[in-house]
Amino acid sequence: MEVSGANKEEVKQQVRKEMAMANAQELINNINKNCYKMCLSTPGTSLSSADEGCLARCMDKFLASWDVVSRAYVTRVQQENGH
Amino acid sequence: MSSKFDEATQRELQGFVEQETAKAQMQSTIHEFTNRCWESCIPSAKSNQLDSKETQCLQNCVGRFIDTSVFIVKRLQTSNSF
Repeated sequence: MEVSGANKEEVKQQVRKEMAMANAQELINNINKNCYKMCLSTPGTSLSSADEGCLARCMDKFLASWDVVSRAYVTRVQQENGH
Repeated sequence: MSSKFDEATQRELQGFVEQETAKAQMQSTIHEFTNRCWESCIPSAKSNQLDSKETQCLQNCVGRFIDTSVFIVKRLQTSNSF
């Protein structure tokens, strides 16, 4: 069963890859949605440099928020499990 | 589905998928919290960094949302109307 042993790891690797992809996709969609809302309340005929500046800052901030929320959530879950 | 894997491997893979599913659910919850808490804590993107008030707000938002769900479940359990 050495052949199936090798395939098994491939299956796992593929699952991990697709999970990571789906997670990144979701994050990108959320950045898009939230930063569009924050930065383009009155969309013009093209993206202005001010729009782009806002989008860039918003994106950084959203990623930082995701990080803070992840930590807060994981910490809380660990506390709950400890009790 | 015809299977090339022996029984032990199948069990292992099933366990692996269950673990990954649990991880995906947790990630999905984190996405949901980030959206919700972003909405109530981050009014603008004048800077590209979170200030201490915003960070605190995000942490409170996560904590109080979980508290809320714990409270509701407890209340449902102790109430006789259900």
